[in-house]
Amino acid sequence: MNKCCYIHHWTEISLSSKDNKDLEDQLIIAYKKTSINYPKYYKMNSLCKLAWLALNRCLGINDDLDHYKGSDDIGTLFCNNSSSLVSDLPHAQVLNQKGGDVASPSVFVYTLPNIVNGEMAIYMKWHGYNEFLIIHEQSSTQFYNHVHLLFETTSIDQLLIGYVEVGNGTGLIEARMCLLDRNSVDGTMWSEEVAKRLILSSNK
Amino acid sequence: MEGVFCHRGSIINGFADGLQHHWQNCLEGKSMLSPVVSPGEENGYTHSLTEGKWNSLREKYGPAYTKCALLCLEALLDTGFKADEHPPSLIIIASTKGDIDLLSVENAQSREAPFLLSNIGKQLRTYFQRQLDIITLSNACISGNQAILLGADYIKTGRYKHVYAVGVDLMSDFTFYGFKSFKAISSTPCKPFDIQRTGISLGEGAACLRLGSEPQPFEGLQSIAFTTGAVTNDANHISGPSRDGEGLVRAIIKCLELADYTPEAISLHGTGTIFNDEMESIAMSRTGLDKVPAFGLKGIYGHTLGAAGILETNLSLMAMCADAIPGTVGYETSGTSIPLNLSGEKFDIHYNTLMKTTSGFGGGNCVLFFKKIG
Repeated sequence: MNKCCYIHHWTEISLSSKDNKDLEDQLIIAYKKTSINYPKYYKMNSLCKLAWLALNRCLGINDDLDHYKGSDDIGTLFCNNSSSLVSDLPHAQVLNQKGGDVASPSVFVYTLPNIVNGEMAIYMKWHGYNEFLIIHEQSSTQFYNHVHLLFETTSIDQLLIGYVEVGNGTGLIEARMCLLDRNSVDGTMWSEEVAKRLILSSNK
Repeated sequence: MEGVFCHRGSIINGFADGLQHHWQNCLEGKSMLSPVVSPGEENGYTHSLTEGKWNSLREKYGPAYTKCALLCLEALLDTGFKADEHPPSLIIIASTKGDIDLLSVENAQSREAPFLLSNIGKQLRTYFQRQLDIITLSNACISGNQAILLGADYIKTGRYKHVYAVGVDLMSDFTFYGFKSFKAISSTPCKPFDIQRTGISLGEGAACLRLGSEPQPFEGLQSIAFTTGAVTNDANHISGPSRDGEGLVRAIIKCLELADYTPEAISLHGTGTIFNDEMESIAMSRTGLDKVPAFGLKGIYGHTLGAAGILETNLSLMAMCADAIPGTVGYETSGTSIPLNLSGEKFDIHYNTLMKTTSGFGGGNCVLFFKKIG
């Protein structure tokens, strides 16, 4: 029952981070290397920053990022296991140590994983389908099928899928992203094998 | 494509058990919000479970389960979930923060940490001692409605016969003070669409909707089909709705194009914030739906975040069965630039179709269309 869709622009980013500060430093260096001017990047939490870097690498492969901007037929499906932990922790720590009245709205707003979809939508002016899934080690078959479901039941022609995992900001930081296309017949076919490669952390 | 029918619904929170009781309360227009009384904290109203209710849930299911798992178990079983269903059913868990109250610096390192959203499904598998099919979705305040939409799509495409969409979120300092830092907490019980509205009231609980491929009267009352739905993004701002309601408009237009009808009643998102309610009124006007009888339900139990879309859909389906438009609790005088067809008191009209909307942080919008059958 599953129809085909094809994989384009497979992208992987992995970093090793000592702590949050180290991660932020590395993400800023990586941003500067892109030579893209997008000041909003500085406000993002590290999860969104990582997704933004992966998106630019994925869709900017042939210098045609602009070609994808403003399309209503591109959806986003992102996933990870730790949700927005990297922002949840500082928000919870402030509450514990200093009380509720000093909580920061600029931290709190990033305590939802789908802010990643929101930031990418703003950057790319995408008004289409968006979804964030929480996955675990055994989710790959389900994820494989879920992608097919979205192609069958929504109006999207292309789906940007990504595993974006920052955890608590230390250790191995990973993003894997690719663009799935309903129509094109070149490229590798979406398969359970690829789904597994996308969502399985190397950090076992 | 298969048809999708709404079979049963449940709401588990600090109020009585059974959807009928919740509906009765909804008809009477009683707010279940109470003031926050913690020391030094005079502002805000919330709805939460009492310690007694938590204890009775722990006695029923065991002391080892987290609050979210307890609520989900109760919500699932209340809609007739059985772990040995053939063919197996799908459970879609919708939550923004899950058991966030269990987050600590000490356990944040652990891959098995109890606060993780994936832990809710894990606990359900432990309780039922089965490898259940579970998907966990976290898309801010549209999570609940999106779980219903995805569940319906899994049935439409023949992948499952039955899907349980279950939404859950807790009342926690984490979210309360977060929204407070946004100055988004109302110092009175929330007043959706009212001229004096100043923000949200938070609620906690779980709600479950059982969808199936075979026609069956919802709660034994009236057959209601899920017909179509859509998810869009504002692509405008991560924490505020777009001023012109563009994302919501696009989702509504998609549904209007796919459905063969214009909805006769609307169950709005209606958080009670200045910006959300204003945005919704503009979106309704832009889609020609501002005169359609409408209602918002957050004045009763507050904003239950990931559970809200399912909790409110369940009450809306009961409203369809009863041919009633519930009163929008907290609403007296229109406070949006386009007045909507709202009333503080319930009224009776005959109608066959309903639209449910939600919008949330991250710019998401989700719209669902329901229709009576037979």
